[in-house]
Amino acid sequence: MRDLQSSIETSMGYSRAGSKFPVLFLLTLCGILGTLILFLAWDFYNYFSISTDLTSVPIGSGSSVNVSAIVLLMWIIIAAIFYNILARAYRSTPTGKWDRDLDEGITGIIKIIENEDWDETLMGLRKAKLSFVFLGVMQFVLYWALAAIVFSLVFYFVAGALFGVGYSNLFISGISAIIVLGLGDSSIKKSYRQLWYMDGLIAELRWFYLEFQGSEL
Amino acid sequence: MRPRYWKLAVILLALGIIFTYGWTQSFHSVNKTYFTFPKDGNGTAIVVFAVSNVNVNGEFQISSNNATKYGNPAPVTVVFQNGTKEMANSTMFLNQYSLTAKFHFKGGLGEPGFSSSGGIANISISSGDPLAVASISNISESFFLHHLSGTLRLYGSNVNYYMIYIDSYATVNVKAVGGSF
Repeated sequence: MRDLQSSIETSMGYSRAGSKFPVLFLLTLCGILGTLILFLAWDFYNYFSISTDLTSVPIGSGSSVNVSAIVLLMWIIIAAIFYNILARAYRSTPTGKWDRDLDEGITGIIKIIENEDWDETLMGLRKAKLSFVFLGVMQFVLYWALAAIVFSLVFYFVAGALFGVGYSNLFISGISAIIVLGLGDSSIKKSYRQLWYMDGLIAELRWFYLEFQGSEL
Repeated sequence: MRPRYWKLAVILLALGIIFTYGWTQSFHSVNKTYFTFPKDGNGTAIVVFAVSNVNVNGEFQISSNNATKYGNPAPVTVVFQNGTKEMANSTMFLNQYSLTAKFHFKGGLGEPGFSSSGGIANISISSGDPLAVASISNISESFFLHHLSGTLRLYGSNVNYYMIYIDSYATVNVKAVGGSF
């Protein structure tokens, strides 16, 4: 019963994190819009600075402010906000609510079976499964982006600047995806097992719920 | 957040993204700064590339770095692709430039969906990202004037370019805006 409690609590954590997806979706849209506005502002800055007659007054803009760096910083901040929202939602799941009843033994277990809202629990578990898949995809995209940034810098400074070797963004994206998949192999297997376990838990609880309803009748 | 406000926010943001994305596709710009240096008597060419259905306006801003490197404020010679030469002096302040050279070039009809990457300038250019700037180091003035054009044409006749050559220490800021204006 304690194992069941722990599994349900973990799953409900995913479910609560999943309930924050609309906010994350809005944040992502804001991030995309912000990125486009920054690039557009950079284009306009270049456009107007060229249009001004600079031939008699030598002024320079330099390129110390790189718009890509600002965009990257913005997405790092958005990723940190994402993490904060999801982690807070995951941790807000109440834990140990059956502990006192379980200490009472069989009487306590019967009390839990009678008082628990199994409909809601089953619904929460279904949501948790969907959230778990979404969170897994988000985690992959995050690691992929991080790997691509690191490889871009490595290729830019080592291969490009030192040896004059060319590279393409497609190559960087491909190699980053392969490495993230390769390094995350055990984590992917673990996630798959967790998903499979969640499926089993839902099936068992559904069976248990139907049995419980039957015995009540 | 109430579902009604959430949906409204999504619609407004999506419209904003569509509108801004469309605007970003109407013109493109590049803004890069290069530090050039001589090597075995050779210099550096800086080339602005554009796919040929794009009109490009831009400028090179150049200042000599010889004072910093040699302790001697000698000007650097800037060679343009038509063979004319101009001098750029040293400036007292960082990011100030003594010579501004404006340029404009445009092409004929380009193939839709055209793209090219790599080559001597190691550029990546396509109809979706139609502007690129690159530096080609360690080439002689003679190669720049007589052979570089031919090498760059190997990218395909639908890539146009404008280039300058500098044989010594200099700071070069290049800005270019390309679009259908």
